[in-house]
Amino acid sequence: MSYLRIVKAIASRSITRIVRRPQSLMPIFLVPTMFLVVTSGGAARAVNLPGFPHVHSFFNFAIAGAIVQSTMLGGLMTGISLSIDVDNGFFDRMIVAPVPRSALVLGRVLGSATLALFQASLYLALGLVFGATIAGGVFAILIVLVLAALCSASIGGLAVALSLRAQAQWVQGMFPLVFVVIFLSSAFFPRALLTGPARRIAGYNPISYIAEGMRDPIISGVSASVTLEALAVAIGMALFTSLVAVWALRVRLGTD
Amino acid sequence: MAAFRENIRLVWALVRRGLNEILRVPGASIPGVIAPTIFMLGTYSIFGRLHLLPGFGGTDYLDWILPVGFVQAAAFTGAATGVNLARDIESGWFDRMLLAPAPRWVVLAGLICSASIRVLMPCAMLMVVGFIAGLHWPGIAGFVLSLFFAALLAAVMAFWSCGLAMKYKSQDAAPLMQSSGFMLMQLTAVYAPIALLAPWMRTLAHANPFTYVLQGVRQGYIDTVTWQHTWPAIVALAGMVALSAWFAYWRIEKMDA
Repeated sequence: MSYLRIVKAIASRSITRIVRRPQSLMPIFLVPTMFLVVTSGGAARAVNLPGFPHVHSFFNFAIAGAIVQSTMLGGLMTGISLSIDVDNGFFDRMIVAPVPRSALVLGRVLGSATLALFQASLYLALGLVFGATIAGGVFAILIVLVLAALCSASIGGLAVALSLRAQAQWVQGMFPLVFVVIFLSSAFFPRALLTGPARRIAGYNPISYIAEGMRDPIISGVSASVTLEALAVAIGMALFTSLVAVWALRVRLGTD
Repeated sequence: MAAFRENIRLVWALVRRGLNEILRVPGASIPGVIAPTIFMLGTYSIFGRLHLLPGFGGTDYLDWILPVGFVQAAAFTGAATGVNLARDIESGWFDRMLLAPAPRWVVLAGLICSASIRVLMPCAMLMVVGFIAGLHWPGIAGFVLSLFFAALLAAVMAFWSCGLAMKYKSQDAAPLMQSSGFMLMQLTAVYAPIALLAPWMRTLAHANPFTYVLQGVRQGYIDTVTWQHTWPAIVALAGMVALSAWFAYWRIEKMDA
């Protein structure tokens, strides 16, 4: 069996595991949708603030934030799914199979990235149905999809690494952390209009760049500098966390 | 009279058991204690400039958003009571409780009173962090009223969640318990005054009893305590207590011992 086929098979299983469990789908879809709906209704007049980007509606502005939130939680669910496999012994059986071990980890990360494509498509479709516009057209959609996949892979890699090195409750404990990281980024509001220390921290938070890279093509059209910056950050993060995940597996197996 | 005293003793014993869980299972309690504070700080960081909008009335956004944490704390604490009960049902402990020679309302009252007391922990954390961040003192009346309303709302959510726990008899119902209160809270004037909400949200907020509770909790923090903002909160809470208590009592009466 070729390396790619193994990665694909594990990715496919990882997606099926998440999709089959309603309790996994709820945080991925329900929480970001709820947040999108209530902030669009509750902070609708924010678009009138001085310094707020020119945008069709706050809903239009917030779609990228919902995609970031959903894909980050999707990445986390990949880790939780793996920790369940570790707990019930399934992962140990996979280890003794005659397959390259890094494929066991990278398959999970790929599964997370693939699921993110569905998540981002869903939110873009939801946006279009409820009156949002995508200023950058088809090219913007492609950029959003690529960034969503990379964002989910980044968090997925980290969650997989954690689930290989820590107990399940620590992986589940990352849920509030994901919210803190999003709150301290410009995913839901323009960076210049954030208050307190969040404004400064958002400048160093890679999620800000990914969120802005998704939002810019949606609300004002594709800009090379914002897109390249976002892609560089997202690719760097995805690569780094995937390597960390592979390293965590090696440490777990005592081969490092 | 002696029987009533015995019932009160049992209620107190159950309250103490509920409070002991904070020390026995800190991992399960800590998220519920810190989550409202994280949400409050996060929302303040993100939407802090909304107070510059015309129609906000010059209110500091921290004073505006902190009372939302009280409502959220009540929703989370009530849900946690239901999740704990579901765990007790799964482990068989609750069956033994139902066999005890005590009226079922006493068992229910113990659970609900523990939720109303436990909610004071996240509220205390919110106040401490809020004062560090620059919260204005709401006055004695505003402070006491906000805690009182939070305790009553925690009771409402605990009744509801315990009812669900007794219906489903499984911790799988936890997302339903947690999300129902959170959703109702979000569909109020959380981020901005009702007049500044989108029209569809304004309609929902007017129909949502949590809106009136939030206004009652918030009044001392953004202005002064008035009867005009107090009575709608009392009416909303009385209605929700009556409905949720009926639901929980109906479920506990249907439980097989």
